[in-house]
Amino acid sequence: MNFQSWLSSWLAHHPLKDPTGHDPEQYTQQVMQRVRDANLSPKPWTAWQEFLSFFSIPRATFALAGVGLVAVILFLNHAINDTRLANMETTVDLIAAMGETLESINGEEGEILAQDLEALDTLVLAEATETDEQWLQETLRLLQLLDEDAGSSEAENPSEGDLIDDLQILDEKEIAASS
Amino acid sequence: MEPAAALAAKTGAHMAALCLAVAQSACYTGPLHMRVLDQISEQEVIEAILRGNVERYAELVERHQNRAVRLAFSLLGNYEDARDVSQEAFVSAYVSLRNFHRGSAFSTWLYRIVVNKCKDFWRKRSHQPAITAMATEVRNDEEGPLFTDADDPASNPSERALQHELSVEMSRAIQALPPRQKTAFVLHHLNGFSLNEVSETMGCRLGTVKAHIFRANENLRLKLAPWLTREGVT
Repeated sequence: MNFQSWLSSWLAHHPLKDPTGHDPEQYTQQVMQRVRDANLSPKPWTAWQEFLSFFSIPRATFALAGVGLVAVILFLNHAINDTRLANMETTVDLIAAMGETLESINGEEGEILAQDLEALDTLVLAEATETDEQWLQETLRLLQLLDEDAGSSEAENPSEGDLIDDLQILDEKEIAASS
Repeated sequence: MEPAAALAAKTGAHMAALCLAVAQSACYTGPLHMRVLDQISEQEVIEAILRGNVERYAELVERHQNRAVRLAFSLLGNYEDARDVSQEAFVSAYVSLRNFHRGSAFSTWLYRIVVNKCKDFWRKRSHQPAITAMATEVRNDEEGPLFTDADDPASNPSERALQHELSVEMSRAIQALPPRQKTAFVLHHLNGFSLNEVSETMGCRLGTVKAHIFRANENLRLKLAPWLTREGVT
């Protein structure tokens, strides 16, 4: 016989002794007397217990709240990116409307804009769908064609000197008219 | 099960108690519906006490005192100390009743307090070893071992004397175990707690409880070695 089975069998034949002289009624009275004598009442909850009890809410609640929070953060992040994208597009459109290029904008502003545009490119490329990509390829191809045309028709365009002469003539006319 | 379910459905406030009892049914012995009803009526008593009806605490004391005293007795080895410590546990449980989680079993919570009070008792005793060791020895000698002697009419007087001696040795070996091993062993083997209940009462993991019980068994096997050889135990 091994020890484990011997122990089980021995304990089954020798149960725990009942405490001698135990009087349940007297025992209850003694406990109740101690409770009354001390004039005890269950302690009221303190602020830190209130705080701790908050964490006894089932963990699933915390998990759901966490998932909700992450979803809100992702949504806000996406919305901010969209706004930034729209702002950058507007800026680029404005610059284009003013007939300027990024290179012509000097100083810090230019650098910031250049950085923003780079970020915009990255964002556009990252979020681009297959159709966007096709559109981008098409646009690039068209731009390339336009560049070539511009290059080939350079000779037909008036030179810088001619343009300055024209402007001077216009200025003189305006001055004459105003006087 | 039927009446228990109907009653619990009627009292919405007790749904948590019902769910918990069902969830814990695997680790408790006894009919499930009795446990659920016990728990529900216990919740009512607790709520009444918290509303200011102090006298109803006597119902909880009456219901749980036997097991609480036996638990303390098996851990401490003598009735006087067991009675004091278990009464102290009841008073502490009353004072902290607001911290008791509704829906869980009052008994498990109370037994945990009893175990902690026994630990406090050991700690205090270890600070004044000379006086208390003598007092405990005297009391233990008066009270004898923790176990009842087997009433076997077939055995002769010398056999019965040997069995009594073994019983005394067993009690001493159990009392000499390290506190956590002793607690796990006593709760499981002497008080019939399931391993899950032991883990809940001691506030440690199931694996830890198993390890404590295994080590306690090994320690007892070594201490009782001469007796075991005689009994033909390997």
